[in-house]
Amino acid sequence: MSVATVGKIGIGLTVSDVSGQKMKKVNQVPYDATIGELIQELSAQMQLPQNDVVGRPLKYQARLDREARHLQPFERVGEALRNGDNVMLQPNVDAG
Amino acid sequence: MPKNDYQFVLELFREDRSSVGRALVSVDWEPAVEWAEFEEMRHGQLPPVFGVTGCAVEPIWQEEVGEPVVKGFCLAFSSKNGRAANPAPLRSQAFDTTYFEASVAAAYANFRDANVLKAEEKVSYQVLAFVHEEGNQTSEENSIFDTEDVAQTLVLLPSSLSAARSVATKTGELPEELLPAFVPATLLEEIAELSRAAEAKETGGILIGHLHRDEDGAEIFATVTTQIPAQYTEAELMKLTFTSETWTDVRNALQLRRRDEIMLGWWHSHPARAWCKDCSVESQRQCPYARGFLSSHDRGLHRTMFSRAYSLALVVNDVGFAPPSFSLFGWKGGGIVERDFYIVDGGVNAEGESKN
Repeated sequence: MSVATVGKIGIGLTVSDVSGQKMKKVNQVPYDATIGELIQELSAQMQLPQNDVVGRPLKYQARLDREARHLQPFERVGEALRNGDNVMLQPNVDAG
Repeated sequence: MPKNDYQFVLELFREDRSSVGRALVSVDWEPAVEWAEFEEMRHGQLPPVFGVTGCAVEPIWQEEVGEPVVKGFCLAFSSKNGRAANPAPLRSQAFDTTYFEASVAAAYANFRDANVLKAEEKVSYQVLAFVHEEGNQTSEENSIFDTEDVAQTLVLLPSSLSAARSVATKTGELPEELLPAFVPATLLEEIAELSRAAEAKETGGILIGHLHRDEDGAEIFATVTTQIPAQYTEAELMKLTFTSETWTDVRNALQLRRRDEIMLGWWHSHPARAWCKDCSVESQRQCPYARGFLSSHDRGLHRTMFSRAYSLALVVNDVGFAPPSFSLFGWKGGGIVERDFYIVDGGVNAEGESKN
C-alpha cells in the first residue's frame, strides 16, 4: 500500500492512452498531487487535445488497471496509487 | 511535442492586398508529427518504434521573399538516445501552408468578430515565422512531473501485399501515399445491419486488426479483422458519445480475443434516412447528408483517439432511397481525407489473411 511517506519524493507510474500505443513513464509523482492534476499534466504531454471542436474542455478519466476502476479527480496519488501502477487516460468524446 | 524554436504568425490580406492584421498561430503539430514519422517507418527510414525519436519543426522559407515568410515546414527527426548510426537529422517531406488552415479560419473569425473584416469578405494569407526570443519550452519541459516516453514497437506481421490484393476489390484509386487498407465485405454487411437496427440513433464501434509489412517490399498495410461494438455510449439522432466505459469495454474485448489485434480505427453510422425523413426522395438524393462525410465532431474524435497515421474512420451512410453506403477516412499529410480501400470478398481470419 502506498501512503505518503515523509522523506520520499513520490511514486513511479506508467500512463497510456486508450490504444495503449502512447505510453509514458512518470517518475516521482508527488504523493500529494491529485488525480485531476495528474490527468491534466499527462494528457497535455501525450498530445491529447484539451478541448473539443467547440472549445469545451474534454473530460478525461484515469482508469487504474490494478483495481479495474476509474479514479476520482480529487483522490490523492499517495492514497490511490502504488509504485509501478498502470493508469490509462480515457476521454468522453462525441461523434456527430 | 516537437521542439519548436519558432513562433508562427499569420498575416491576412484583403483582396486589394491591404493587410487585415497579424495573428499568432497556435498549431497542433501532432498530426504532422504522426504522419511524418509513420511515413519514414513505411519507407524504412525509421524503425517501427514510437517514442524513441525526437523531432523539431523547421520552417521552409519562401524563396522569392525569404525569411520570415514561409512556404511550409518540415520535421527533423533524430534519435533521442543519440545512438543513431547517422547523427544527421532525418528531414520529413515538406508540409505546405495549408496545414495552417484551421488557424486561418480562427484568425478570420476573430477579425470578423472584431469588425475588422466584414462577413464573407474574401482574404488571402501568408505565414511568417520568427525565432522565439526567450526560447520555447515543450510541455515536457514545463511539466511539474518528470516523464519519459516508453518505446512502443509497432507490430508488423510479415505478409504479402500482392496476395492480399489478389482476393480484394478496390473501391477506387489508391494513391501511393495512402496506406493500403483491407476491410472484409462481411464486416461491412454486419455494420450495415447494426446501423439499420439502431434506427434513428447513431451507433458505432471500434475497428480492430493488424498492420503488416509486405514481404516483397517495404510497404506497410492494414487489415481490419472485425469490429467491437461500442457499448456504454450515449446515442442520439445526430450524436454518439463514446464514454470512458466504452473504451474500457473495448480493451477488455481485445484482451479476451487474445489475437494481438490493435485498434485500427472506428466506425459510426449516419442515419440519414431519419435525418431526412420529411424530405422527398429527390431532395434526399441531392442532399449533402446523402454522401458520407465526417463532421467537425467526428474529426475531433479521430484526432483525440486515433492520431496514429494509420488510423481509419469508417462511416456507414444509411440513406432512405438506397442500400447503406460506406466511406472510409484516414490521415494524409496531417489532415483527414476521404480515401479508397480494398474490400475482401470472403472476409479475413484473425491474422488478417483472406479466407478465400
